[in-house]
Amino acid sequence: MEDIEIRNRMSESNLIKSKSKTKHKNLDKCSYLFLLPAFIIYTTVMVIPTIESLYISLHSWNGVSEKVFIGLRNYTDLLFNDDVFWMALKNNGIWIALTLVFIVSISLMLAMLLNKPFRGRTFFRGLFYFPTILSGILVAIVWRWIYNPNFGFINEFLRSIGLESLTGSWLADSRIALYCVFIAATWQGIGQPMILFLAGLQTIPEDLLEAADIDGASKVRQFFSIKVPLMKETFIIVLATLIVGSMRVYDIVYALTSGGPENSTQTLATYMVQQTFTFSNVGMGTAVAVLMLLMMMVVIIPYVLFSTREA
Amino acid sequence: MKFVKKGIALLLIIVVGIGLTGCRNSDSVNESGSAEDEIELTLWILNNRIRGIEEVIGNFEEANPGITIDLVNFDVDGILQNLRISATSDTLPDLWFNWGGERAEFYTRNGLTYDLSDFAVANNWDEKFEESALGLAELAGQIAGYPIVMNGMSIYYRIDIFEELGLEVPTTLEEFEEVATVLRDNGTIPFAMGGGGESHLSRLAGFLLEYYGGAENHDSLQSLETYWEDNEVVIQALTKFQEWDDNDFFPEGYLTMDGSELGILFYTGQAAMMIDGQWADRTIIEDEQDLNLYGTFPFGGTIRQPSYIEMIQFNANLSDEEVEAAVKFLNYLLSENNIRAYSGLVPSPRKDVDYLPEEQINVPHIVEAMQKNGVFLPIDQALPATVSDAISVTLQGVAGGNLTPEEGASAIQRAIEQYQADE
Amino acid sequence: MMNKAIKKIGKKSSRYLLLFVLSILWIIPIATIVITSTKSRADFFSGISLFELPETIYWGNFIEAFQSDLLMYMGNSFYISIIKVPLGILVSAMAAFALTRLEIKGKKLTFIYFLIGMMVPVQIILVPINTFFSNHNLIDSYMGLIYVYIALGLPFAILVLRGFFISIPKEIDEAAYIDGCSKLRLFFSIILPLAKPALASLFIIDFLGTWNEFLIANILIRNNSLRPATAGLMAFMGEHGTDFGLLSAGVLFNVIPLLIVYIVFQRYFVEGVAGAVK
Repeated sequence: MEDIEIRNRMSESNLIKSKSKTKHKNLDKCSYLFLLPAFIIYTTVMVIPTIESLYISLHSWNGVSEKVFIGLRNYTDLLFNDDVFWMALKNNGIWIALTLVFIVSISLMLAMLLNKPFRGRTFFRGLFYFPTILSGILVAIVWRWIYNPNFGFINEFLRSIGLESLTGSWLADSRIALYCVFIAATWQGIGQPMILFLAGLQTIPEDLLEAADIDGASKVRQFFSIKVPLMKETFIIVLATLIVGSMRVYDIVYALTSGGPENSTQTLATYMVQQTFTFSNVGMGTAVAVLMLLMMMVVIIPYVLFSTREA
Repeated sequence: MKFVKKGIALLLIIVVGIGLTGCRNSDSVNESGSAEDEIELTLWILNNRIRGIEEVIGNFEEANPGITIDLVNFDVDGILQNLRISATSDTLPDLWFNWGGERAEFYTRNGLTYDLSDFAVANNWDEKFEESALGLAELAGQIAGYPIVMNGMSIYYRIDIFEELGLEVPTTLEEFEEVATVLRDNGTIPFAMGGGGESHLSRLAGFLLEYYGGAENHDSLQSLETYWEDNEVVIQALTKFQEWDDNDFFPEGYLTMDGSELGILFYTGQAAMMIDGQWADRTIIEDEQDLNLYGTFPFGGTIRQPSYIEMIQFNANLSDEEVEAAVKFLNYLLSENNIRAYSGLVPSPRKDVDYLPEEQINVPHIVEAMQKNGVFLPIDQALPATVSDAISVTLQGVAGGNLTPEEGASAIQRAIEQYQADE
Repeated sequence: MMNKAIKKIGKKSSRYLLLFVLSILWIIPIATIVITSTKSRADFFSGISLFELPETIYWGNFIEAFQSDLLMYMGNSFYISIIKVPLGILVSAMAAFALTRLEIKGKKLTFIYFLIGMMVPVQIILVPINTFFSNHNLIDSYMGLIYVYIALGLPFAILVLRGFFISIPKEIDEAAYIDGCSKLRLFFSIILPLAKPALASLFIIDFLGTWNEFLIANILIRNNSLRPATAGLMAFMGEHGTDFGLLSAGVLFNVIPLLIVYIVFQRYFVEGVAGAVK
């Protein structure tokens, strides 16, 4: 059907390709205009401050008085002398792992469940996206109430079904606090990857799946052999965003535990903010931010470069 | 074709939109130094801190043509962050609210505030303000701001629960422990404490340090003159704290609880006592609770109580006329009439204002305890942020059983040394 | 035949069951918020469970929220978002278009350049932005705020749109050029419509992100009547006590426009690319 049409067009265009190429080379300068607004806006707001930050991170500074140049000492202090930094880094690592396992699978599953039309689909699509729409302040407050060991939903529920022994102090338990925060974050954040996957699922032509059905391929086989490969670009977008988000996670952690107890839920972002704004250690806070950025670049850039198709 | 039309329509909307934004702007942009004798002062304060301030400003401006006050409201984190950012970019407002102690001192120490010392002498501020308030306003060798309220902390308790269990208000530490034990054994959380966001942990630590060390030792520790490591007083305080944690005097999971959760516990009677400041009277009334059920007593009976001031700081770049105008405004804002009619910001640090709202029945007791026992600055106000944080983390560690009191004292000492090295 | 039918019903009902269970879990916190909004301050602290409705539903929270400045704040958010989002998507789409379908040098490098922006912790730009804005009298300027927002949204939008543009066959471009299409026309009339699912999801995400943005808005907008909804909601929170019922009601009000945007745009997920290729 459309394939044949495309093939016809292709042979036509092959003949004329040489002609069109010369035509368009002259208009090259025009192409840069498409890029210009984005470039200007982005460079002025994001790039210049980032370079400034690199500079600041080589100093000791409280934000107001003279900057004192100390070279790489902020970095060596962080990497070799700072338990909290490593705790934060570890927590981000755990967060990334949890994200890749749980958030990807749950949001993908939801997207697939909510893909085909059925009665009430819009309601469910709205329900799972609803938490993402809520203001973060209230999300944190409500989850505090849910986790509160004295009157919160979880412990109350466990007590009411006779499982008192399973109750815990959740957010105050340094061994599991991070995971509790993660659950709240999942509730809040599942919506975004879900709709990205939904959009991605739309790019899969119906006929391909029908043909596979006719050929007798199981749903699972269809999933791995057809859906996943065709959604490659979507996966790249979702995974890149989730990994970056996991490295930068701040609001929900700060609101639920402030990084405690005993810094057990500190993340790189909460630590950075604490150093910069609470401790007035701007040079070191900026160094944390730079390290965050470098770590993300090392992971994301190769990933995106090697997995995305050549433009 | 349809899309091109949509695109053009979109562009039109955007152009019009930007045009409109331009219009919206011109009214609200701050124009400094407009008319000849016009004084325009920007004031940053906390949401709801000074009730009815808009009306007071309106009245003031009417009576004082030539002076305008531009008000900007913030929440707690907002004002802290915005002040820092403005300090860095050299765009601090003319006047801003701040808590006394370390928070205000940062700005004074870095030359960002107007030194009111000369002004204070010239205008007899020692007669105008209570000695303790003015003393607390003196930071880094200067008068760092105009004191607007003198806060005092105490132990709030549920009168009805105490009565039910036949408990007397404790006047010593031992009595306090007895009361707590009875409460616990009867299924009530003795002491509502929160480690998350609230400074409860360090406030309790302050109380214990005062109890075990007395005024001199406590002050000397907080000024970092004495070593915290291996210090008797510190170790006793930490040990007692650990003991109370082991005895279940605190709510389960308290290490990360915040004010909203504690409020629920206290109001619903699940907890019977809480550290709070005199502002709690107002909060309890606003939360539509019966204030008659709540009483206060000073912790430890006769030891000093925590107290701190809040102030309005002045930008170092203000001209003398602007300072005059600002003080005139603040004198008016915090005059007895206006406090009575609007803000309810009490107790006032001014000698000429001794108004206390009738319905706030506990405030007079707290003020009395402050005057009788004397006061000390709470840890979160008195110490540098890194040290204060180290103390909170240490307390969490001691409570969690990961640190012995001795190790805790050492950890705090390390933070102190780190701070002193960085200075 | 029967087996297959039963299998199908089994599959369908297990689907529904899974959905049902997840929904229950997901709804619990939402229910808490809704229930809290029906309680007065006294109700909230009266000891009843967070999941219990009060004896008499207190509508006062909704009335108070409605009569407060909240609607004004929401209007500001709407104004900011409705300008920023289409503008930002336009700028990003143009860039993504250039990066995938035009003859430009260093496409991958430029893409990486933009991508890095997604990884920069936003706190890094706070002070420089504040300094620049204050010195150029741009505090309280929506134009300035939108400019910053566009910059912040570019990396993600370019990532998404580039991904979708790549999936569109190049042959379409060739065919269009042959038919005498200009680049602009190709962009607006052909490529953009094909990317509808991506544009729709981007619109939702961006609109929501802009509306709920707090940090930058809190620094660049000080004038109370210009504040967006996020700052407005913060005003409901006092330093020592918060009216949770009122806050909940306010948050629910705030959610309505966002929910509407979501529901309107999510139906664009229904259109596949199959028909559009023709």
